[in-house]
Amino acid sequence: MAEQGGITSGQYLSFTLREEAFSVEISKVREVLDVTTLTKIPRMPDYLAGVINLRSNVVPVVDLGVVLGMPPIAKTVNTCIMIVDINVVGEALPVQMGVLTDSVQAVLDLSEEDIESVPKMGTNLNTDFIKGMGRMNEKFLILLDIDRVLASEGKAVLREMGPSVLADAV
Amino acid sequence: MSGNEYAEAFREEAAELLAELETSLLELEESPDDKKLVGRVFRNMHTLKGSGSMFGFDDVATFAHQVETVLDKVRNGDIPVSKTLIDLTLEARDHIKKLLESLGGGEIDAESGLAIIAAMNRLGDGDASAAVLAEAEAAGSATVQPVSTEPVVREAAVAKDEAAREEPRLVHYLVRLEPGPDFFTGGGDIAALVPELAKLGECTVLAECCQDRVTRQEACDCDSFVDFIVSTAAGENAIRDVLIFVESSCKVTVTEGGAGSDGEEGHKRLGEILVERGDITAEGLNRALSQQRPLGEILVENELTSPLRVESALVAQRELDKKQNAAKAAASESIRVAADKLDRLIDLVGELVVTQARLSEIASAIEHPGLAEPVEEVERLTAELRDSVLNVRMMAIGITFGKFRRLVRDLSSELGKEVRMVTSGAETELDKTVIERLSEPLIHLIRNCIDHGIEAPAERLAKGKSAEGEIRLIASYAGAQVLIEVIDDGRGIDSDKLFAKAVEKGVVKAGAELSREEINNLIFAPGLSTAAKVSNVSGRGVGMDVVMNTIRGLKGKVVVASEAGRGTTISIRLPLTLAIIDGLLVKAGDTHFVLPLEQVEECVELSREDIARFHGRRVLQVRDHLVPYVRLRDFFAMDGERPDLEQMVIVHADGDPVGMVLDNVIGEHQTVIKSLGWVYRNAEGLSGATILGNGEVALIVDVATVVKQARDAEAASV
Repeated sequence: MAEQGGITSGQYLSFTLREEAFSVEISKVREVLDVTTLTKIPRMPDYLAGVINLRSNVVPVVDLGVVLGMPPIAKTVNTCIMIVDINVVGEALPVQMGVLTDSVQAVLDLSEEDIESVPKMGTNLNTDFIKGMGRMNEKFLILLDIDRVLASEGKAVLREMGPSVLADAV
Repeated sequence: MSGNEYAEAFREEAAELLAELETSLLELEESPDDKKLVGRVFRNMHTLKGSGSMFGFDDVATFAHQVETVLDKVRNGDIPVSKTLIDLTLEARDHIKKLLESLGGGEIDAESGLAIIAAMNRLGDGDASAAVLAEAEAAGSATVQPVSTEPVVREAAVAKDEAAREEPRLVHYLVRLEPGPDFFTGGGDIAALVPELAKLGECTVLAECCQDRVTRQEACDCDSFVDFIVSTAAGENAIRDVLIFVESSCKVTVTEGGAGSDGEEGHKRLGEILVERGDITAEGLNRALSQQRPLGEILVENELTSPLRVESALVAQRELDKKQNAAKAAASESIRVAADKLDRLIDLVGELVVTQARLSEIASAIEHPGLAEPVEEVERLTAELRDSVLNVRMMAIGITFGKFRRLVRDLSSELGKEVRMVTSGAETELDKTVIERLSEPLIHLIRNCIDHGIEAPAERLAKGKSAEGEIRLIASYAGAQVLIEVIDDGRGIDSDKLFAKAVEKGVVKAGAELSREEINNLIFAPGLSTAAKVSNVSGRGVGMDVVMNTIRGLKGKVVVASEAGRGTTISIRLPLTLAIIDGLLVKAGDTHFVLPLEQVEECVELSREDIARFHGRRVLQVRDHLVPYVRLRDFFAMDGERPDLEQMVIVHADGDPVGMVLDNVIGEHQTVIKSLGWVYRNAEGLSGATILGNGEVALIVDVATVVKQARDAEAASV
């Protein structure tokens, strides 16, 4: 899917994070769930919202808003968890991850003319995370490169929490 | 099954065969006279060839065939078992492995394969020609001699043969020459034919009359004949081609003498040979055979033995047959199952355990008298099912030992050291995944032993040790854990040097006071190597931290003990299984935690008065002892008020009792361990998660880490 420019036409799932419209390729999304009991993992950064039980599997959930520099999510009836498959360097299989969103909107068909390249500035977001801008009914939505957003944050966590080999040697 | 699956099946089989081949070769090196081992090596190569060609892995089959040819000579005693031979065969084994791997993509280095074969053949040539020379000398003036020569490589014939049968092999031909009256007068010379026939394969001459008469003219009018046995894969026509010039003056008969160069099915009955040669007719043979009676009867009739004894011998024979058949049957009673099918089964059992816990929870709330019994039964069955399924995954650790032997052998010769490897506890069983993931760290450890630990022979002798170093690899059960020890009798760890190096690299502060054990453990720090120079074996300082990380990932522990000049012992403790443990379910704040039951000693209460009595110091008097404690709420930085009466679960970590203070103890819980996933793989103080009966997620506490970190934090604040 993702070719040279990182932009391809196809189906996208749109959702909101603190009133802003985003979307990801539909192929990345496995399912959408209502918020269930989230178990917070102690001593972890804020954007890691916890883990959920997804049919007897423990799946980590990320507050995507916090990752993108927004305030933590306030849960409402519309709050959803999007289960996505993230390709992580060094892992053979995609990693399943939950993404907390304020609401999940719709599946959109975006053709190539509907997609514009990333503006150099003005999005207040790290442009590395954005694949392009999708146009729909005069409104724009940000097409997120969800692999990059989550995998790169994962790396940041690794740096922060780097295993202290010495401490555990005993 | 699709073609791919066949290929996969072959690859799996081949991997097993190659592992077995390696083990056999290494054993053979230790006892070169063991014919059984030679046979095993040969059979391995033979099977590889056979199934290779069956599944269309032609390059593997061709290569294996060429190796097999040489091995066959080893088996026949034509080539002695030497270190060079073992080296070459091991190289050949590695080459086959590469061939197999390269099928998934990648370059095939045909050159190296050819080089191995050439070297092996040289080995064969040298010996075979030496044997011929020796025989020629011994025979003196005789003109016709049994001659054995190197069979030339017969690719074309082999390919044809392989198409026809699964196992191409040498065929013995009986060639009879009956010289006609004018054969010798016409200048015919049977002796001249021998080298020609020998080019096709091993050729043995059986002359009916004595040898020096054969070439002489006097023999011309006698009805004598000369028999050759030619063992060749080239086929009958090739033999006839050789004999084409004598055919006019001499009667030539070529009969197939049956396949089987290894004698398994090569045994031909006397009668059959006679009939084929036309010496007797088939009816004549049958008549003669019908006159023959069972050996037992003849023996009894001649009063050589009693009927009773014959009877008992026959019974014994039948029993032996039965046993052999039973052994065959037993061997076929195991089946090969893809690992992911097994993983799926374990996942399902895991889910079943979770659901069963939920069922029990609900049943106890309903308190229906009829419900209790079936629910208990389900609980029992689930537990049994869980144990059996987990047991399926258990494998003996010994399967990896062969690989380590090879490593020791190759590395020690590369480094010019003499190292012997002793293994014990090969039957110790561990979870398959654990064994697989353990292999790499063990390789690192053994490499380190050879490279850093074991001294060069001269140095060892100077120290009054035997020139040959020893590495012991010992696996054993220790409670619910498996203990694996790698012990060498080398120079041990030089603590001072190690400490100095650690300071230099900034791993520890200069002047830090570390115990001997702590210093020894520095070998696991990343980027630290005391090897003066970097070899391709070790010295880059990577490796030991890999060992530590892998073992930690397997929820195991590594301990180093070393005595300077005497050697080093590295002990690895691993849990028996990674899938399900018995746990104690507790609660702190809103979060459920599980403590591994195996580490739990007892539960006591901790009241506000107790806390006041020790003025905020985190200790509690339990009977005669003061037990320090860690409050989970504090450790995991949880919000909220703690209750007036807290619970303290006393666990043992590194031998000392430590209390884990929490809000509630809920009870025992069969814990199906789930990974917290990639995102949380560095979560501190937690080793995983599990799902409770009500669907909530509980976190499994890594007791050792919690205690260790709490200790460190306290030490830092003082």
